[in-house]
Amino acid sequence: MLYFLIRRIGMLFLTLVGISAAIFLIVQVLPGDAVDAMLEGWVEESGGAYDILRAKLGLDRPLYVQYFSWLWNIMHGDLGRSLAMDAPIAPVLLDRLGYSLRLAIPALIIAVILSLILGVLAATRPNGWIDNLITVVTLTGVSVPAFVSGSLFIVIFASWLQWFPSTSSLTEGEGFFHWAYVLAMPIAVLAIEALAHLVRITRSSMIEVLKSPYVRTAKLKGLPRWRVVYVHALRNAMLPTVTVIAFNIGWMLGGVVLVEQVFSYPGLGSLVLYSIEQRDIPLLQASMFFVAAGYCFANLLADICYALLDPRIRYT
Amino acid sequence: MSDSTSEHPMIDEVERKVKPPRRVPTSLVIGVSLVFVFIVVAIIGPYITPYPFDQFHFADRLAAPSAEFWLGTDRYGRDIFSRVIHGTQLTVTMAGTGTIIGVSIGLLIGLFSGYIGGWFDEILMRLTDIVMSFPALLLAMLVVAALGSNEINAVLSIGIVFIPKVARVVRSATLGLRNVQFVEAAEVRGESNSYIIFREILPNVWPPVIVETCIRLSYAVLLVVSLSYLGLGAQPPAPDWGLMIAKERAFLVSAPWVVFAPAGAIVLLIIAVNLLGDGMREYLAARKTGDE
Repeated sequence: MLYFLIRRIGMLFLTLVGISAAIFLIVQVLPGDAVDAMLEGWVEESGGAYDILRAKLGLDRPLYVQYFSWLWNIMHGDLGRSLAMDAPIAPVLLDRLGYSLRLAIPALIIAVILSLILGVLAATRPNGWIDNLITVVTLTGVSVPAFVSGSLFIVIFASWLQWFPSTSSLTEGEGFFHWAYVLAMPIAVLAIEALAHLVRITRSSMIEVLKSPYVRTAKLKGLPRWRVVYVHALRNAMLPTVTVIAFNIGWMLGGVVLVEQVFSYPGLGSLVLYSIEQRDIPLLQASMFFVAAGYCFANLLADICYALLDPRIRYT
Repeated sequence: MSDSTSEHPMIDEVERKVKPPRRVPTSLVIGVSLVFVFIVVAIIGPYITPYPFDQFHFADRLAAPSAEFWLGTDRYGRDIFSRVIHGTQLTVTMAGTGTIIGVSIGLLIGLFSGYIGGWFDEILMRLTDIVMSFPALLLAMLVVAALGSNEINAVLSIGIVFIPKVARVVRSATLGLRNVQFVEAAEVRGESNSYIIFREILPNVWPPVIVETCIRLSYAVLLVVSLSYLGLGAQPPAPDWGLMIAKERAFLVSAPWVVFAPAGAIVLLIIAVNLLGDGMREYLAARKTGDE
């Protein structure tokens, strides 16, 4: 296990270096550099001001030098300065990350719990009416992009029923219930998105597990049905779900971007979009790196969970 | 989603051997027909709409659905029905082209990587690792940000997102065929690498490639509409579904019909492609067991 962890973390480090190089290269394709974006419309003729500013920001150095100094700074926790905001990037990123996690974590927890319950319900009576209903609903669920369901939620719950506000702007210092009230809709949208994917997996793996000999043995021993299903079978049926959760985190991050946009919520996704619109290159690089790194860590966590859940896997 | 859980597995087994199931799954039939309808609308759509997609009716701004404007009008008084029908072409073409780019390049990479192996394979797979460690939508956003927001770059970004995933699927299918007798026979005959890859291996990796293409297609639709919703795809006044929902966000409360039609179109298209993919997977799986 320890060896597996060390190797996996080493790979993670290499991947992060690769990611940073990929981001750096892609961003270099951007028409014009940071200086063009900063001086656009301010200074008429090219020349003096451009060169001075370029030298000051270190953009006159060769590409590889720029890349390694960027990488060096990132490894020391210095993410650079945002041009559009004229502020250091790191605190902004952490702030926005906090906002995004407030959406993503409750959504993920709700989705996982519900998917286990619904998946088991569907699997215990395959092709029964509950199963068919769940299948139809989840098929529709995976076919609705987050921004579509979000917009429809606004029409239904904010406009017609007037239960929730249509934008999720937060004010610091409000109590938990106010937060829950404001974030209910975006969290629900994200949770439904993830839930639809997870239920299908839980259901099919549960059906497989319920067919296995050890479940039959447990039944024949005369154990109560709930114990067989929820204690014996569920533990094994959860394994594929864990993997799918890891895969889903990527889609979930995409979903977070869309949901934040729908509900005008100031999270990480809207920060990425803001940096694209403002052509704020340092901010774009840093926030993209941040998101991709977070995704890699989530995958690592999922791998570790998998190893803990399945004692057969020892990764030696 | 049929598990054919009969009480007697033996009977299932015997039936399967006696008559190989050539039955076409219902989901495939529905999926193919729906996708066909979308393609027809994409082709003839622009000729059958009551109004041009960009015609303003200032007197009827944000009008509710009526006999004159079947699905209502948007904030400039443009007929939403006409815009949604016109937009079919845009979404279907963008999703289709993005998928074709991703699948064809991914197919080539997967075939060569899987067959040639060695350091060539190693380098390509590490590269796909890096690309795959980005969440799909964010990678597409990054690519569009670098190239500029328009339809073509959105399509390219989708292609780039798909390449590594398709390459992985094709590579593993190819690896399974490397030591098969007919491939070894071709090697002994002294055929060239490209002959073996295209004439011996390629015909046998089609089933997984077809299934993968269908899955990619549904993600492509999702990515197209998501990118244009974020303003990173088609630009106004294009009648793009995602863009329509984004631009009319301010009127969700007062005139909700502005989003119903594009939202419905998006969901219907994705359901169609999902059914196509599910059905295709089921059909090809059934055929495979039938052949053996």
